[in-house]
Amino acid sequence: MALQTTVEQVEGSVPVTILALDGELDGASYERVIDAVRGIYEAGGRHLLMDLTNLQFISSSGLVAMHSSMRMMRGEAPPDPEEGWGALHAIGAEVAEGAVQANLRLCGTQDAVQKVLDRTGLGPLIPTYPDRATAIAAF
Amino acid sequence: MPGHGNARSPLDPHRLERVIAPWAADPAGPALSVVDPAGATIAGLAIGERDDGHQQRIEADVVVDGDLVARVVATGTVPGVRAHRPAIESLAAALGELVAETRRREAAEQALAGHRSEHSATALGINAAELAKGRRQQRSILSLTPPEVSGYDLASHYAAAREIGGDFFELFRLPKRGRPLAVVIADVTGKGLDAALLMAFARPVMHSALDAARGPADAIERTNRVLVGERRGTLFITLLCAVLQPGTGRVRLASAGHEPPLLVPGDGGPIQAVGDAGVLIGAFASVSPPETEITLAPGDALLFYTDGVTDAVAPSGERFGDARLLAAVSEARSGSAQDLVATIRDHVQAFQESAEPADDLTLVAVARHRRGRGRHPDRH
Repeated sequence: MALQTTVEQVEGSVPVTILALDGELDGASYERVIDAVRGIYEAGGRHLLMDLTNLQFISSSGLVAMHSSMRMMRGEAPPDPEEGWGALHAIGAEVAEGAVQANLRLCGTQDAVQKVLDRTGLGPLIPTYPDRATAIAAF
Repeated sequence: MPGHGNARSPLDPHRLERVIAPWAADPAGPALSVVDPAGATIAGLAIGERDDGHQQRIEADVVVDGDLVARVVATGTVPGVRAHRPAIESLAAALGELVAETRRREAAEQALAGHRSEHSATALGINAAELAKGRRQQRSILSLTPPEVSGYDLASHYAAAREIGGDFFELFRLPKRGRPLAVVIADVTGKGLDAALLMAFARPVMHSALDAARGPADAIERTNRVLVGERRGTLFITLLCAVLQPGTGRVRLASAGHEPPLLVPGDGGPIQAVGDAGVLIGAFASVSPPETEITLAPGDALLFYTDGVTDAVAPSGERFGDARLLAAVSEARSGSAQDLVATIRDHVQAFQESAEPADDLTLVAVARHRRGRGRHPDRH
């Protein structure tokens, strides 16, 4: 059930922050991923690779973490889940028009995770690579 | 975060205008306002032509813990107001739930803050009690009496997770030829107040959209447009909508990123997942979900569910999964809709043992009676 997050910094052609998710991303853990990505952005990270090699499961709540991460890495104000509607921000025209997200990439998605991303339409919006090396080279 | 109570009251005029805006955008729909118990307008919107001389006014009370806190007032043409009555009642119920939820959260936060400083363990007890109350109230707005549909059994089961938010479902007859039965089942992603707000908002919007739409895919498109246009959020909804013509057994269905329903043929044929999913709603400016059409033959059943079923976790950490769901469906396939739902519910509960569910769980089954068996006199 639990989720472990590990953050690493590597140098490709640009500095890339790697956030590795190990375990299960669900209603109990998605806010932690949002917090981690917010922390990375606030610390100056602008190229984020989520390594999902050891992510066994993603629930529908996990999709919120993915979408929020896309937005935060584009520099939009991070959403505050405590504030209800008042503090919610405009959905970026980029995503609304189905444009592909370049500041966030994924690698190592297992079939069960990819299936959920694809079923709900988020998969095609986030460039996904088989492993870290190819993903880093693509930034 | 204590101390922000008033800032996020659901009865804040600005927030209320957003909530009622979708109805005002329908030119044939009624003018809507929300008034306080003394009758003063808190928020109101009126767009479109509404003065043809035959005005009707209906009101729905927003009641929290027995107190009248507000009223939803709809004024418009007689057919317009009538068509919107269920949505207006849902809106009032949803607003009541939101006010109650906000009060509970504030009470729980205050209790937690107070007791934490005294190093008291009872704070957690209060919090749990408040959440349990929230769950019961959420269930009460979900569990509307299912309609009677001659020739069919309908059954549903809903189990709330620890936190409010999550799933909603609805079964209702549409005001169209043949009185088709609409089935809506949905999972709001995320949890907490934000998810509860989105659920309360989306449910009547979807109901209203289906009343007016050409079919389930059209209703999903309309609902998405309202969600994206009126509400700028970070949460989304996976939703499945089916419309059944009881006379023919014809079912049109469309999915927004939701688990496909299972068709359980009455002739013993293989159980199949039905339909393709489009993208979830609330995230993209436009969606065009594919629509699928099937026919329920006598003896066939259609099972709708949310991911709380397949994602249910055993104490070992294992997930219930598709294979166990199929096994449970196979076991109950010759029974009624109630048997199907009860069997799956029992299997999930046995699998979870004492673990408290992390996610809401919803099951809805629609079973067509076999010929010459289980027929009931037509009731209207």
